[in-house]
Amino acid sequence: MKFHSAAVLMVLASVAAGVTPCALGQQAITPTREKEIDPQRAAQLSIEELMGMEVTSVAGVEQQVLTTPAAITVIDEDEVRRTGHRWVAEALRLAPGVYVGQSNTSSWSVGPRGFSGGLANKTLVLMDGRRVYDPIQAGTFWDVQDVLLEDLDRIEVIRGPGATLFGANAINGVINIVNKSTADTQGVFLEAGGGTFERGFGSVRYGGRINEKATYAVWAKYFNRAPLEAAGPLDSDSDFDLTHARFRTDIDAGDDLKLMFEADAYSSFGARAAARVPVRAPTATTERRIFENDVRGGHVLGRAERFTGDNEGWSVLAYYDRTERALTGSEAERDSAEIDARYHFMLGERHALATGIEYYFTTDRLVPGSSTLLTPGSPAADSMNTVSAFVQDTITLQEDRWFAMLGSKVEHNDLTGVEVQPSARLWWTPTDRETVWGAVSRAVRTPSRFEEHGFINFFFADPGVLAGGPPTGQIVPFGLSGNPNLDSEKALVYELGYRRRFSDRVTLDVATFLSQYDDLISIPTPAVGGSFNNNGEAEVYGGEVAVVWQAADNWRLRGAYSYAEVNVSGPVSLSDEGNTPHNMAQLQSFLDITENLELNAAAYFVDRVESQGASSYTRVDIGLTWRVTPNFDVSIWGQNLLEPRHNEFSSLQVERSAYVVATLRF
Amino acid sequence: MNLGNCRGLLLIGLCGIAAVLAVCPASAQQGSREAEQREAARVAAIKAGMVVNFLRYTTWPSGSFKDAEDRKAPIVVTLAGDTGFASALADAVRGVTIGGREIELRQVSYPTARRDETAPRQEDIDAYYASLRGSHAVFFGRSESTRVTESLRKLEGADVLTMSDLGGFAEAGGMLGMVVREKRVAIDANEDAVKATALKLSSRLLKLARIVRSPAREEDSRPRDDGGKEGSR
Repeated sequence: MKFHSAAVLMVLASVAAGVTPCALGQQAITPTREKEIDPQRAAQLSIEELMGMEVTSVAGVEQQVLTTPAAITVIDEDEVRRTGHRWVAEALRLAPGVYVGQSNTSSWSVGPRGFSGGLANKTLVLMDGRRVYDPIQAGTFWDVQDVLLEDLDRIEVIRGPGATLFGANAINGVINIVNKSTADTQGVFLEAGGGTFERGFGSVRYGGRINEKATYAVWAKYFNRAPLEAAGPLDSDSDFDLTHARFRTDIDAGDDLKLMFEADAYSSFGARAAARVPVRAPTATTERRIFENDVRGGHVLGRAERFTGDNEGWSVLAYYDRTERALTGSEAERDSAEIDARYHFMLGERHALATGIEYYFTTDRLVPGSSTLLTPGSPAADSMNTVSAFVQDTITLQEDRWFAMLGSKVEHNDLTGVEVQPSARLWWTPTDRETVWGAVSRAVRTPSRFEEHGFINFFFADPGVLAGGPPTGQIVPFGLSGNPNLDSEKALVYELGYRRRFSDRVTLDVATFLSQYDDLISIPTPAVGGSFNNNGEAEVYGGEVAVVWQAADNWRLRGAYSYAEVNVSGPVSLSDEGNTPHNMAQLQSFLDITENLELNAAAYFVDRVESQGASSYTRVDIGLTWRVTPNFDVSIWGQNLLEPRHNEFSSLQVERSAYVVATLRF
Repeated sequence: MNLGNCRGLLLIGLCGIAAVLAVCPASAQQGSREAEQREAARVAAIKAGMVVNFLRYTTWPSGSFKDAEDRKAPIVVTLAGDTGFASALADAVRGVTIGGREIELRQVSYPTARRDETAPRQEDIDAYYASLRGSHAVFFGRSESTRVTESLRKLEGADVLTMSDLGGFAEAGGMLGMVVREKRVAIDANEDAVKATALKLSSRLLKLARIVRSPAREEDSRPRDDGGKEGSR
């Protein structure tokens, strides 16, 4: 209960903070969304309004993406806002090639390039540099990856191995969620809304200035979501609510030194779900029980950095994160801490070096439920240390034309010992508007605590009775056990890509890949009585195409198509093959009907997911935003409009829905 | 895969391909230059708007304006050197009045050597500085970056509002500097420079600015002067 109280305290603190600015007499800059500005209009605006207008050329960020030798998509905050997504997991649909499937009201399967089943163990997810990938289950719990959308800066999605820079467990990709500095989130922000699925939500944020060097912001939010539709009498989902609060401060200490500190807490409790679990009885029986699934946690994070040139400088990041989760009768508490230091420097004219060392520590305590247990003899509490270092050299082979990057990450962890993840990339920029790139990388995924020590219990039974003879009097679990001798999964990934900016108005991005996986941690067939093993092998290949077109000054279009084929071999369960849809496509239209009226629309096509029996679907979302005054706007969104309901990654169904939201800024 | 969804996929695909084909032939060269120009125009407009606001929030001492019976004297703003947004400023001030006064823009540049001479004449230089001192406000453009410290010294004590978007302007003794920081145009204000004159800047403007101290001066920090008080010179 303590984190829940912490969350309440933070809500109260932020309300109190909201009242003090009047006392301090601090003038807040009015953030404004006006895009076009001419001198005559500018002369009529107030200083606060002028200071609130963004001036960095988007071309700056676009130029960086243009020359990056990796399949990267940067989803900016405007695209998230104009596609009506209220949760980070859903916003990831905007990245080409990333599969997002909702399995119940609080969980999603998310991942690029295959293996997105369940928690998707091959994609690393970071929030402002903090790992949110859970090493116990090997995957990301999306229910608590929540941000205040207003203060979100961008989401960077790298498809393909990010292993050199980001380490193990980034075989298929890296998702990096970046929030704005508090210098950009000044003033009061209020938002409230509700609808048929997103039943009710509200957020409040206050950002102020401590002195000329330091700014801060504090926010609190709450939302409640309805359950997904049950398809049959045995299904059930429950609603989900989350209370979340955060405090952050950014300090521009001068001389390019920047500091940041944040503290965060969240809590969700009382979500009920029904699940069929084994009963301790002589013959294999299961029963349906209702469980309360709670989750709460928080973190503190600090960062210092000083970058003085193009590739000169250092950064240090440190954080402590805690989660407590109760799920279907089992409980897990996890504490983790990390310290990450990086140093960038030039070696001569042609070598840009990036180096870093990192220490990651995580400790957990597991209380098994009836369907997830620990194998006999496994410790109920365990901890893991990982130390790693990386070096990456970006070499200018021929100025402005040919570049190469060679790098490797070397890691030592308690589970599998030393892992080496080298990567080589080569790219060619024939003009300043196009890039051709290729890469070969080796990447690794370490086994999860559950794959090592866990036990998936299918049923309890008396072994004598099961064999058809007299009962032994002992009731024993039968299921799939963990294997403490697992090796890491390995992947060798080949990639090729092309990016071109045709004019100021059109950009094209193409990426293709071939990944060969070895020692895949798999489930044997039959599963009962067996244990996780490294007998799986797989080959995944495909590609993504993305186009962005500024069709007119007030109309922007964005589209993408991706294909992925997964082939698993070995004496293992082939469920991974059926977890990934072959084809996906999307199209978004952002239209400014007038300066104060926006019409936004998005369509997504997702192919069938065989393992879930989900057929393909086309989703259409349409939203209208009216800027009533420069500080106040109202939006209405209709989502999943094409079909009344459809399956994504479970037998539960996502329904057609609508919501309204109003926001106020001053 | 039922036919409906196949159509959905094809439709999205065809739309996308059609879009690309439609605009492919467009000239690639113009591309990035257009974006840069648009961005520069935007920044120029914002800075021009800020200059107008600076004038609004400045109070000149009585006697600064020679008003005629029927007309109020204009506020004279001199642009020194190449500012990069002279035309934006001309657009911005058109028709604007502050306290009933119009804004008059003048453009001057540091004198160059006359024909057959190696350096500009002292009298030309003096005339240049005289024209700066005779204005109500001066905006220093980027061509003046090497001369800014010298010019500010020559203007010390004069009731002339000094502004610029050159880096380090406020630290060098300029009163109001515009700097792009965290993707926005921010204001640096050197209060010491203002207090050395009879000019008054509104507290509303100062609250939004980052207050800068000139490193060369050995001033002790004084409490911030709040707008309407009749401060000492």
